[in-house]
Amino acid sequence: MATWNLSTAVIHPLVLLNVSEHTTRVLALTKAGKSGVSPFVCGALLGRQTENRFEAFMTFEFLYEEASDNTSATINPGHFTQRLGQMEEVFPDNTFIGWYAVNTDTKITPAIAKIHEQLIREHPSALLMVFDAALADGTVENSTTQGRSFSLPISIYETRPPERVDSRKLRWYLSKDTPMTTDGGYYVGASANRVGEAQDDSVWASQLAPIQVQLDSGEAERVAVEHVQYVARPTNVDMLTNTRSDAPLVSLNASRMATFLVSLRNALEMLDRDIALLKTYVGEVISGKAVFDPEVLQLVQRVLSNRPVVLDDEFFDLATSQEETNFQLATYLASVTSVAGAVRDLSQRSNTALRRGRNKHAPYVNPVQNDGMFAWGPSMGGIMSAFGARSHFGRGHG
Amino acid sequence: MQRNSSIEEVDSALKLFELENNILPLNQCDEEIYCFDEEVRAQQLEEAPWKSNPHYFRKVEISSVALVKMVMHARSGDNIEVMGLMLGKVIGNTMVVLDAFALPVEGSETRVNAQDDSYAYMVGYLERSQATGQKEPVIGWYHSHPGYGCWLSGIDVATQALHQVHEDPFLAVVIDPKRTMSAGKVDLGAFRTLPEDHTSGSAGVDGRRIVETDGYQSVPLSKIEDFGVHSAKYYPLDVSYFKSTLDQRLMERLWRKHWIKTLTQSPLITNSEFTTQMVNEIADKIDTFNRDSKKGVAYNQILSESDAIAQEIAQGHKSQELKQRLFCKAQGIPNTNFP
Repeated sequence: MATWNLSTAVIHPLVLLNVSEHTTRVLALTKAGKSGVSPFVCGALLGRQTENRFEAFMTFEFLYEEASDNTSATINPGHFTQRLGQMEEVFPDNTFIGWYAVNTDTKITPAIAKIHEQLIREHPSALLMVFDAALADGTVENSTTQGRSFSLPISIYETRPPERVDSRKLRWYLSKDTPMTTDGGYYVGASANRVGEAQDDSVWASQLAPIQVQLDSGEAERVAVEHVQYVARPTNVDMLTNTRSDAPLVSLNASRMATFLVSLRNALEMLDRDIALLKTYVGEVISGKAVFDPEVLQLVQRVLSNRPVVLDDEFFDLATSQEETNFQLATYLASVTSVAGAVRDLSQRSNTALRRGRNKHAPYVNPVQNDGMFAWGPSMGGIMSAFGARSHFGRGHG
Repeated sequence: MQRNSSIEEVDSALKLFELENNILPLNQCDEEIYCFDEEVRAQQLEEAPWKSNPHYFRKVEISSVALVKMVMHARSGDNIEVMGLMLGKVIGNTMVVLDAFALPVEGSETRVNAQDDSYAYMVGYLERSQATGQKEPVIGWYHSHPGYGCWLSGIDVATQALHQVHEDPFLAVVIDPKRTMSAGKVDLGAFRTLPEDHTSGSAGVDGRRIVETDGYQSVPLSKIEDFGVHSAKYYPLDVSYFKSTLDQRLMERLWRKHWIKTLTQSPLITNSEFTTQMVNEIADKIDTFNRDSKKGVAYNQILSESDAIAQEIAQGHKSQELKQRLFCKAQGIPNTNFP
């Protein structure tokens, strides 16, 4: 809350899934002793920048070389350029906008800061995303983390222009336990004083400031992500054995409509939950139990004032009723088509039955008199076999 | 001066790189699946049980990241077919797809064909992937069929058959981005071809004809011939999807932000063009059917198509209605204009 920041980072779910996959793979390889490098997970963020809005769509992985003493990493520039070229060839709208590093919280460590210093030499506006792979679960931990569990497990930082900073603030380099400066900010690019400058206690340094993070997704992406959320199963032993799992998936037999309504219901459940949360908060503020936060209340106010905008709009109603008509028309057409299909089916069958009957000079059998048109009772079956046509008819109705 | 000394002090801070102690534990299955073992692969290639049994592979498991990547790529092509490759491995008779990447191939509207320069791209891309520790080999290719369903065309069958001869185990995945959006459900099929001398009759032995495992598989009029001629030359595999432990935790978080999208996007608006196209398609098919019923258009196919499109419109409408009732009528004033 130190400074109000105008930059926004928009993150697509694919970015987070990529980071998660990268982390999982590196950990799996490390545990199996096949990787040979320390599990430092980092890579590039690709996307677009329009003014101060950064939008990240995808990622690729960095190749880095560790120093011989295992203390610092250097990004391999050859790999970086090649991979970036490959990605830009396929997705020409995307370019390098920043990078990600995986940590066990969303704080910057000195090691991460050092890599960031390397990158901003060539890409001064590069963002830094720190991904919290520990994903502290609000239900297991104490209740203070409950609030945090609602948020995405990332923080995104931008690099501010260099400014004079009191070098005592940079003391976070000294202590690994509190990797933070005394005023809560992170600094990179600290450079020694130039010749002729006053030798006071300040140096040039760029601050890494957290910026707002939003989540966005395209329509197809949303469908895919919902699929991952509800259809994809967690890895399980079944996958490794060859027996086919017969446990039915939730949505396997449900109709499309049911699946769709379930996903809507899930979304509404979340909405309900959030509204309940706000309601509780406002209630507690009124009764004096919670801290009065004008920022939050202003947001609530804004939501409430937005709500009735379309309450009594005749154009909206018109559009809705038009849509209703369209929908009913489409349903109607579909039913007409299926009725036509059924009639055709019926006439074809009865035609065949009757034609055969007459051609062979067999007694006319009213199909309805038996067990109904489509119930091929023993008597019908008998007639059919008499005509030697049983196999033909039996196939459809056996 | 002060800074230099501080950097030396910080050396042990690199211990923070060692995530494995703090991170949530991977379960055994995660490890098995995400860890690639070259020896196992070499052994599989030597045994090659898929050579003797053309129906050896039964199942496909697709990771969450591969799924989202493929769907997004297919969508980015709009009306153009796009293609890419999948990385993964084989576990028993399951093909596991772990990752996917796009190829710079500009398909025409009806077919895709990997060219030489895309081969060069692939080699370069794989080299980079290997360097970062992603050792899985290519396990197949995917491409999109925007708006005309998941099946293999004649060219697709030829491409796939060629790959199965030279690079087996190899898998073909087809995604329809338009139907995915229209139905609000991922429309994806995975296929393997059968050898030339394989009689088509046995494709149905275990009840897996090419017909839809998933409701309906409608093929546009212009492609029905292509579909009919080649449908016996390949068989579909059961597709399921998985996510790692970390993915699952992440999705729980993601969902707390992401549900808003479910409510705000309106399928009626995003799919209006596709819906119109589908209705036209159905009308054309009925026309053809009336004129000449032997042209391969089965009326039950038209039926299931019209059902599907009606259902999709119904879905879109239901969500609109729900929103309207929730957000516009919440004050208890019934709007009499609305039936």
